[in-house]
Amino acid sequence: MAKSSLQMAEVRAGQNCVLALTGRIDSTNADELTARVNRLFAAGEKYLVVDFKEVLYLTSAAFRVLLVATDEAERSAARFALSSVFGQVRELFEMGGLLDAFTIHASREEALAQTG
Amino acid sequence: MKKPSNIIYGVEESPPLFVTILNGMQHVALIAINLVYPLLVFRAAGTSVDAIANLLAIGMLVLGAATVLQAQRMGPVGSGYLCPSTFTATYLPSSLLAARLGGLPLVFGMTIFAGLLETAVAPLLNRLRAIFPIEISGLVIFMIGWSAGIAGLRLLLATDAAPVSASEWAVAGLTLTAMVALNAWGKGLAQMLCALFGLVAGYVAAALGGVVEVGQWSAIDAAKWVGVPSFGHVSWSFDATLAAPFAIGCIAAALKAIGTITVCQRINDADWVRTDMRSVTRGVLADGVSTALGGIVGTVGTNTATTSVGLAAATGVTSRKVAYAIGAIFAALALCPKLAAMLAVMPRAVLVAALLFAVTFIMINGLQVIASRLLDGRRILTLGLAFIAGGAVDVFPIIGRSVPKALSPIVASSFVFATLVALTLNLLFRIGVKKTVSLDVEAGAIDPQKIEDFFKSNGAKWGARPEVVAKATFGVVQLVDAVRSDFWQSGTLDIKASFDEFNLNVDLAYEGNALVFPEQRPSNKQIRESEDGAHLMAGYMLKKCADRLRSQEKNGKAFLHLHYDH
Repeated sequence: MAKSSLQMAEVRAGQNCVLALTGRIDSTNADELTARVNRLFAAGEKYLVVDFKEVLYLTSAAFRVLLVATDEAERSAARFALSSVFGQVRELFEMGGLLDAFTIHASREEALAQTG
Repeated sequence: MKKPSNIIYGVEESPPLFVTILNGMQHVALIAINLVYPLLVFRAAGTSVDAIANLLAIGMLVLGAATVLQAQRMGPVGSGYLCPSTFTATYLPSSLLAARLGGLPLVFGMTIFAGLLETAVAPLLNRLRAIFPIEISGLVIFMIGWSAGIAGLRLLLATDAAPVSASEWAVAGLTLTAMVALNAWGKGLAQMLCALFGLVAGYVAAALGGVVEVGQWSAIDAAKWVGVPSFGHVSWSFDATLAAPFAIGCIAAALKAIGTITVCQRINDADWVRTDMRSVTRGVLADGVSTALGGIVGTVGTNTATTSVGLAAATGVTSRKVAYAIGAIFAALALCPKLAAMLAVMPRAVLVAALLFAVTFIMINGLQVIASRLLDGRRILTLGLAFIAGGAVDVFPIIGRSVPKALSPIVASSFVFATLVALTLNLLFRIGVKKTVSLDVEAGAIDPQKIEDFFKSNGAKWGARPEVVAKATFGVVQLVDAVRSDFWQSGTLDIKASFDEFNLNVDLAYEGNALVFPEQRPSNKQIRESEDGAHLMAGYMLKKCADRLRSQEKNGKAFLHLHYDH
């Protein structure tokens, strides 16, 4: 399977980090996303927000990445949140019964306002 | 059937008498505004004020009877829901045509024809949807609004209409402004009954501005407070050249009845999943019987009232008992000739304002129906050319006058002509559209975008709902993603998709093993800690997303059937 297009951009907001995703998340790029998140926690990030605003599509492989990231955050005594989960992507979270499994904020700004 | 939490008195429950009567009065007030449709038809036939008042009283009796009939389950007739009847713009273009060509006898005769036709098509509705797809229903709804609006404006602006005085313009402006303002900024009852309040404001302004003629006041004065409508002067005639316009009106009424009764089902059942066609068929039969009854006793066609069902949902009172109250209130109003006379002398400025207010919602509703489907080039051409054809007939009346007389009822009416152009092009463009399409995916060249494009382009050719196509797209992309490394062993993965108006089926086959599709979601721990957990999650989501799923393994191949209701 050709690798699906997924761009990841880190945006610093003071002490916090936003990982803005663009494209599709599936099993072809899930490992890459896991590695990126793990690297950020290993580097000492204490609050990581993954922004879904530009995510077009995801499969169940994405859920595994996010659940593993939640574990990794706990191990690193860090906080982990999602933002801008809208439309079809949100429907998939809902269908998977995973809306309650994560801290989800309406926007990146709202997520960063919860730094306490 | 499980009563939703927002419904206070469900269809089988009995509210207190006071609540029942008050709700009935609200419905009657909402429905009464549509008396402008028969009024317009009776005036087009040159009927006297006295006769119009009598016919409007008959109309009110029919509305009451139709509402009660719809709430019953008498033999095969009646949906059993509180689904009031109203006069409708659906039959307005064809009834106006009949009024001009053959007077009221032709209107009544053709209304009987339309009602009987609706009862005949009720059991065939499922099959009709193929030649009458949803986007053409949207076009028909739009053109009903358009042609009703034009018919109203002709009362003021046609070359043979009496010149409009400054007072009349003022009354029309004030009536429309009152309706629009109450609708846009009003709250509660004021917003819900904005058309009725606007109508009252229009009458008051017309009286103060001297727009109502002296002779018309005397007709109201002469009318009694209590009296029984007369059925003695009703007669009927038929004209085969008007069959097409009334048949189109009948199909449009049947389609609207399907929609309204479906809404009734939804608002009364928290567990509602899909339309119960049995109650819909019974409801359409009741709708047809009511229209035929209307023609027999001397009024125009009726149809289910979507706004009334909306009112029932908003108030949380959907009890069948309210239908009986509506029937009784309409019967009481029909026994008051003075009220009917007041309606009969409605100034044209007020009537046109009320009509324009109503058709706005009809036209936009039509556009929303069109927008609910994916449209490819063929469907866009079908709709676009039909809109242009309908508009051209209204802008250039010479088109209608230049065809042989027998074709005039078809070509001279924008509503009928646009619908026939759309139906003809739809049949033509069905040539070459495959109902079953396939795509082979190579193991080394999986491209989710290609799968998405495959469903999107075929969905547009079929005129499918975008949300259903999106579900099917997710199902296939999810399956391919889940099986590609551990389950799909070699060869191509074959995707076959087939569509009809009610079903979207997707069949997938590949060499290898089938996924497991659990009823319960795997735990977060299972998903996190093993690939198996992730695969179970994929299977769970596929099962959850599809309306039906069937999986099997045979001769080393895995087969998956996904069904989506449409």
